[in-house]
Amino acid sequence: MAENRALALLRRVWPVVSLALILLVIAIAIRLTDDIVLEDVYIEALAKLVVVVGLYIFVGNTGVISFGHPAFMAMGAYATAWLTIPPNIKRISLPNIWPALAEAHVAVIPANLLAGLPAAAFAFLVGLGISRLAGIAAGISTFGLLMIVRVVYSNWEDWTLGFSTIMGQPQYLTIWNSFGWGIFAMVVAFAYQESRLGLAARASREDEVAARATGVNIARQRLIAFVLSAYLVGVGGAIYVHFIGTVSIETFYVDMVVITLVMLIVGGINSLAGAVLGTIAITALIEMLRNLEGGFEIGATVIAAPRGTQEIGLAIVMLLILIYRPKGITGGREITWPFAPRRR
Amino acid sequence: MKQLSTTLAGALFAFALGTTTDAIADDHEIIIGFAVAQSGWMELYDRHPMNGALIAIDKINAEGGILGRQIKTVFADTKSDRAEGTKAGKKVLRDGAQFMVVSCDYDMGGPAALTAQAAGVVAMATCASDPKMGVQGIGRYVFSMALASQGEGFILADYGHKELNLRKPYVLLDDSIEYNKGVCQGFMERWVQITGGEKIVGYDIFKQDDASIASQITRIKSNDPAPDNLMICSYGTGLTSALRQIRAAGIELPILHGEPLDGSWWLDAVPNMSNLWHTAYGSIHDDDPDPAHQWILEEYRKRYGEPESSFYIPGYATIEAYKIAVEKAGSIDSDKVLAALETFDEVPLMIGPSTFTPDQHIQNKRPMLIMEVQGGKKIMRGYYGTAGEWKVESVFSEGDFCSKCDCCLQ
Repeated sequence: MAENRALALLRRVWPVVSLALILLVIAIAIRLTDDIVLEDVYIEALAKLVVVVGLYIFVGNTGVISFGHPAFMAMGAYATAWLTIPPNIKRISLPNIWPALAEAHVAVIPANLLAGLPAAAFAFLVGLGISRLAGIAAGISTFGLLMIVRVVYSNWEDWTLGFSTIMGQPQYLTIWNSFGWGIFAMVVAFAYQESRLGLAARASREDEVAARATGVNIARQRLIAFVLSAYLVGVGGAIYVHFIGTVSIETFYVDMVVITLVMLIVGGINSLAGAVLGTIAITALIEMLRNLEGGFEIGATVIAAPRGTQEIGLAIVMLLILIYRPKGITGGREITWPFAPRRR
Repeated sequence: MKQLSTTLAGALFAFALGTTTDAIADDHEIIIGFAVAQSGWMELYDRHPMNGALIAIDKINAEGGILGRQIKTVFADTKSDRAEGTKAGKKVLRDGAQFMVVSCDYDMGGPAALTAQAAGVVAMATCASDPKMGVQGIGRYVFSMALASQGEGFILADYGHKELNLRKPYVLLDDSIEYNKGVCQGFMERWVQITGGEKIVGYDIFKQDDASIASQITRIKSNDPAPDNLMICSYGTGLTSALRQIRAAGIELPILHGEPLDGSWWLDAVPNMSNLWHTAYGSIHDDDPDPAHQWILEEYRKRYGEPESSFYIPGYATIEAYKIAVEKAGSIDSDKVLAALETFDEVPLMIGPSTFTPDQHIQNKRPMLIMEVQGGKKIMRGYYGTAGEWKVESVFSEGDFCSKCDCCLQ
């Protein structure tokens, strides 16, 4: 019986375990090549994965699209900078920050976990309004949110240096601890979507009227998803700047909106597998196109794709997916336990 | 499921494709890596320095190389993006770079420079004029070939006061980037020094993407006492738009500005501009008094066509500096090259006499060319240096720009 229970549990969590295994296999493969550039590609992809999974918690479960999540990334990014930059550097680069923060020097992992909190708190406040909107109105209002955060942060000189770059946060990420962050994000998202709250949110996504009839408070469910999603995206933003080593508000604008949404849409909006596999697929595609741009040798001649191929290639893939597979490469399904007849 | 596995296999395959073999220098080579923007908006500012550096490399190779080694180059595109900058830095390091050339800007070049610092490889920004591009801002392996933006402000203050007899400057700062802040800060600091404590008569800020600076113009016009010149610190289209608006509003005051006005790209955007003086690394109008600058201008034209700015000069000087440092060190070992660079004392490079010390990895007093603009034409006014000496410590002491500028304001 115990064996059966363990098996049942494994089957239950298989969607997240399988994704973890895929990420692990890729990590090991990259370690074996011993290529520092590929390692960086992996680390950046995993930082983005945390963001895309965070985005998925809201967009995937509630069906409301958001163009504003990079605002939460930015909030997490600056929060981790305030916490982790050594005080002696802060005295020079951020002389007017609160004295309590000026002296703060928090270890990176707790700092990154804390960094999601301002984003979550902010999401709660604005979410009280946004969660009552639906469809395109919600999408546009989240984009407005992004613009507001950008304007505030780019003018909040004392804390953010405006449009300038803050340096000094430790670049501690390795292929293994970024893998750990990926697991963290997937576990949070999976636990949520399997919980009562997640199911209620999904019910509201599928049919608002029916959900309401069964007692689901749609606005409340959207708010919960929004706050949790903002928290994880905030943590992802923090991790992302530990990868780059610099914080600048420019990083968190339209480009970031596009790339994170492309990852989610190409993978499949409605499943965790979609978020994860979309991130992997788009990262791989970008790297391939990037290598084409850099040129490769055939005999004595070097063939190189023109600069900008990467951006155009990405757009073409996005279009193809939207035309031929609008539900993304996973079709909105999770990876199910492969050794038993599938229930449908 | 089947589709999922196909996707996965595809993704793994793509990762495998991404792997390339490492190129490691042998004893007859030195590998110089360029982690600069080859696409995106920053490409405009990185192209000329990179081409200048490539001219230097070909010349050195033709003359027998450095310590008998030929220079080999590797490139990675930062795509004018910070995260790509980190990867570009790693890529040239993987490809064996023993010296890294990074973007002409602290914000954009910083991420690549950080990777060089972490790997213990000397990196030099061709023309990043923020003093944070150096030992205090990033680390001891990082240098910049530029004159610190504050030093440029010093030159403009001296030139305005002594050569143009200006007495009542009004400072108009576009505070979107650090470079602008540095130039205006240096100008105000120097103004107080040369006038024995007199302050500027007005100060205002705008932003690069402001569609209109009408309110700033109103304040300039109503300022008491009335200014007798404008010191503007900006760049790009925000600058040309500001210049046009100022002249259209009937303000004909003399204008001082830094090197973003180098070249002739903007002259058509502000028709018939007059009464403006700006700094530049050199002249691209065939009237540079320095024969070496004339030589590289002609070389540039032969290889790349008509240049849009003289930023090839700092690019060339970057490679020149590296060659001198390696020969002085007698080795390409990063720590020895670093130590040799830090002993540079007024070393004559194409860009002018250059000094590095353990605390200062950027120039503080090198002369720049002054260009005057009258009737939409540029007139070369010769190289001009400041008599003052800007100290790098002034940036890295406690207190911020606003508190420093308030002390300069009347």
